[in-house]
Amino acid sequence: MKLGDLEKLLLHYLWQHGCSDVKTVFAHFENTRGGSLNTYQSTLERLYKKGLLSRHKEGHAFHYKARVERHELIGQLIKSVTTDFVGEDDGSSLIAAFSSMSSEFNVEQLDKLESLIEQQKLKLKQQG
Amino acid sequence: MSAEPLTLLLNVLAIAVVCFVLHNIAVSAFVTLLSTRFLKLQVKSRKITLWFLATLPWFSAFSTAAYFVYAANGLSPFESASSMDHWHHIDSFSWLSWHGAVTACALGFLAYVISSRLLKLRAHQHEIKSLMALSRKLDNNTFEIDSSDAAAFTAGFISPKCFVTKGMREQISETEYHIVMQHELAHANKRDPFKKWLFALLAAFFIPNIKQRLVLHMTLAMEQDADNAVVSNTTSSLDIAGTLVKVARLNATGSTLKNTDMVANFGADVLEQRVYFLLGQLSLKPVNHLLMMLLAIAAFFLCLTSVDSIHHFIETFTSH
Repeated sequence: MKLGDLEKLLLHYLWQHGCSDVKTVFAHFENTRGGSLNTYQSTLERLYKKGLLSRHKEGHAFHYKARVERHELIGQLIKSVTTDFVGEDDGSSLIAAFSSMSSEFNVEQLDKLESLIEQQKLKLKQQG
Repeated sequence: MSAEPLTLLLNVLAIAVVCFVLHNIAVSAFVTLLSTRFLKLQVKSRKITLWFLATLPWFSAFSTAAYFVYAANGLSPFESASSMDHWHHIDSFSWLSWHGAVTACALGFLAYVISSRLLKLRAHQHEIKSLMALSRKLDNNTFEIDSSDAAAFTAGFISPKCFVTKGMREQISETEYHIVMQHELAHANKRDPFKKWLFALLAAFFIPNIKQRLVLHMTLAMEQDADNAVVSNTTSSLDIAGTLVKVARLNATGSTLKNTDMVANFGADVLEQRVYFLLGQLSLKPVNHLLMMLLAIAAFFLCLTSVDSIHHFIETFTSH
């Protein structure tokens, strides 16, 4: 999922302030970031099309609200970054993870490995 | 008679494709028969062997093609060109022949693989930027992600960044956290994400089964190398092995990081090998570099001398 700088900024704003229309958003950023009302309108529209915002009409204006919570978006991004090229493809991940990003480890296998490590530690203690 | 440059180029491309396929089959057979033995090689030797195998078809294709270009310009170092190398119609090329079809298919496949990998890479870079923007910067290369799941990984092509989740930091001890971060920094210092991408690109030209085996071995070698980098006077390999198993357990209870069965099995196998390696239960040997060099030279001469025979063999089934 691609997110531009302004898109991230608007998401942060909506996570903090809840539901807003474009004029309120523009008024908030006008002095600090600049840009035109159209820029903010099209950015909110893009976020809506990406499924990150929901909207409803009040009078003539759309009111936008974040559709995903911050932690949900982070979860999606971690999943996407760590599974890009992995699940769909051939294991050729662009990431190098400390432990393979899997929830399917065999518990028995982990127990076996853990007891092996404990045995080795005990052996070293006895020797030392 | 000297060939037109374009005709020569297309014939040389056809020669390169034949050589590439020949060595691709040879490497695939080698990997099928001996891939389990790779595990007995020292980490550095294993990495060299894997890079050698992944690049061998390209090396033989380019070196044979380069030789034919020189030979076509009367620069063959051999007394009789026909005794070593021959392509019986280097001065003519038709797209409506098996040469044309093979060359077109090879160029199309090459363009498809490279462009699709580059597009995925671009999307991946955007996602990393988004993740960075939503994370807390710990230092220049390290970011903490506000997530309750336990995860730590290094990502990024030109300037790799290490990511660790808050959940990971909260669920492991100071010492374990230090091990995790040192491991990730080792990946970043070695530019492993870029190397993995490049290796996977080379492996993409093999059949899926061979591609997976090659990538699996390279991933394991890179992880073991990063584990090794953490071992110091203050951090023992036993501590690293213990941390690995603990993090694997945390991953097993996490909800964000779920993958396919293929990746799960792959992960478990890699974990087991890494723990055995850290416990010193594997006796690893170096690879003979001279033997590898001789193999590369033999591969080049085999291609040079057999390419026209293969050409004639194919033409017993097809027309020009």
